[in-house]
Amino acid sequence: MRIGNAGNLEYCRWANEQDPKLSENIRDITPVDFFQKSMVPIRAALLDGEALPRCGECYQMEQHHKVSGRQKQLLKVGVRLEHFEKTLASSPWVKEFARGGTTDELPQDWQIELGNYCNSACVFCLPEFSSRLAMEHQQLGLIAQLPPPSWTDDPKLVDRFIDTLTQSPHIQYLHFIGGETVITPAFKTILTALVDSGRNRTVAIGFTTNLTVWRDDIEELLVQFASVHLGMSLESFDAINDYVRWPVTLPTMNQQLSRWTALARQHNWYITMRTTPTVLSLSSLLTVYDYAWDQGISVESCNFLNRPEFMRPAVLPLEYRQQELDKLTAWIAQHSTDSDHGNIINIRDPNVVQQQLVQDLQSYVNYLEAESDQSWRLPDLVQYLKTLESRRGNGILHYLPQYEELFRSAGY
Amino acid sequence: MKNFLDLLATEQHLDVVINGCPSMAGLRDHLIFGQGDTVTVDGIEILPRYQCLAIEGVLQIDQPFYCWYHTVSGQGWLLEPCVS
Repeated sequence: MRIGNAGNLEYCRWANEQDPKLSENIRDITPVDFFQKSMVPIRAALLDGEALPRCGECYQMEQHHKVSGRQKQLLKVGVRLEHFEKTLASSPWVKEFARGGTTDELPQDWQIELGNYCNSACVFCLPEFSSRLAMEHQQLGLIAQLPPPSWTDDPKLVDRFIDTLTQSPHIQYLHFIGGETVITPAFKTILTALVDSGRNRTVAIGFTTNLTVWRDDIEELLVQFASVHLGMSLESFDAINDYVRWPVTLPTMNQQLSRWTALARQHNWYITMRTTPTVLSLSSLLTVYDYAWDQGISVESCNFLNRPEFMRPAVLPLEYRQQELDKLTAWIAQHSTDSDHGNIINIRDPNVVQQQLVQDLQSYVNYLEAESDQSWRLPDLVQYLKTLESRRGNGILHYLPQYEELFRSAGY
Repeated sequence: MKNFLDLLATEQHLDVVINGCPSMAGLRDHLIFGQGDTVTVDGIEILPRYQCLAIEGVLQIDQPFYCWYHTVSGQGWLLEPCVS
């Protein structure tokens, strides 16, 4: 289950984004009632074989052989798309499934979105996920109003949510995202409550940080958990990272990356680099995979970027795309692994990190080969970049000179 | 299979091949193989791949095969119902 930044409750952490106003909200319904009552028709539809519209991004990922959220969540109940019918019938949940969507169970797995409080303003981000970008958008006239307040701004709602967690004895995994988790007050509040209730001894937590900040008090809490999954957001080890993940700079990012990685290895945490490949970072994507290969760290991205539409990698015209494809396929050929692991769904298995890297990069090759040319969005991209640059004082051609002709032709 | 009710109404079985000889087993059958056998289940190599799990020359799978395989093949958490 997922609680979104606005307090919206969603049936799956991977369900396509929709206007939060269309979803039920923790202000109006308890998470347990949402799980046990509101989700009944959704489960019933899935059991009836329906493909839900909000599962669309997962289907797109599977089309390009990128491991989807749907596959990952199914795996947690023992179901795989290969051998689907047999694994479903063998699942420990088969009797529960036979109830037609009703349940007396409690959530065991949560994605907790803490709000948009963030000190970064990544160029591909959206106001609802970054307060700094939201302010910038408002000042530039790109949005009339700031996004609605986060549910975590209301201590009563945070208490209500903590009650849900502490009264759910079998929670397995809690994944936190922001904004920037480490500086969001509710992150510390919830971690403290989990420690005080002793749940830190059984619950695995995951979170994503933007590699700009360090907090000793958060570190002191994190090290008390039995299992931690650390996600570190970055796009490249080239200068383009400075432009895309503005205003962080490479020296700061590298310093924080080293510090977080050292802490994680000291406590045997699972670590991954979280990327959001865009049309701007595609040309230096391999710097991340090179680093990951050398360090034995996996790379994970939520999906193929959908919004903003003009940032999608598919916006790159075919002739430019082919150059990137050649680089990616050459990397894969140089890093082939003699593996009989088949399709790796548990991409957090530390025993198959290198195979996972090849598999993940191959999905981008598949995407770039199959997705139609969306370069007609380039004028929108250029207009947006120029608007941001008017305030930030930087320029994309300083970072991507190889795209000068392309961007000039689109109005840069 | 079109929906979950269809699945429940369909008898499922495992295709087991031991030393080249095909046979069938139920999804929840207790399976026992000799350590020296060559075994695949639904095309998945079991022996010799998992012979390290054999005890005194015998590999016993005493839970539904796919739950066992989930664990031994490193698929991560396998959540279970807690109320029902």
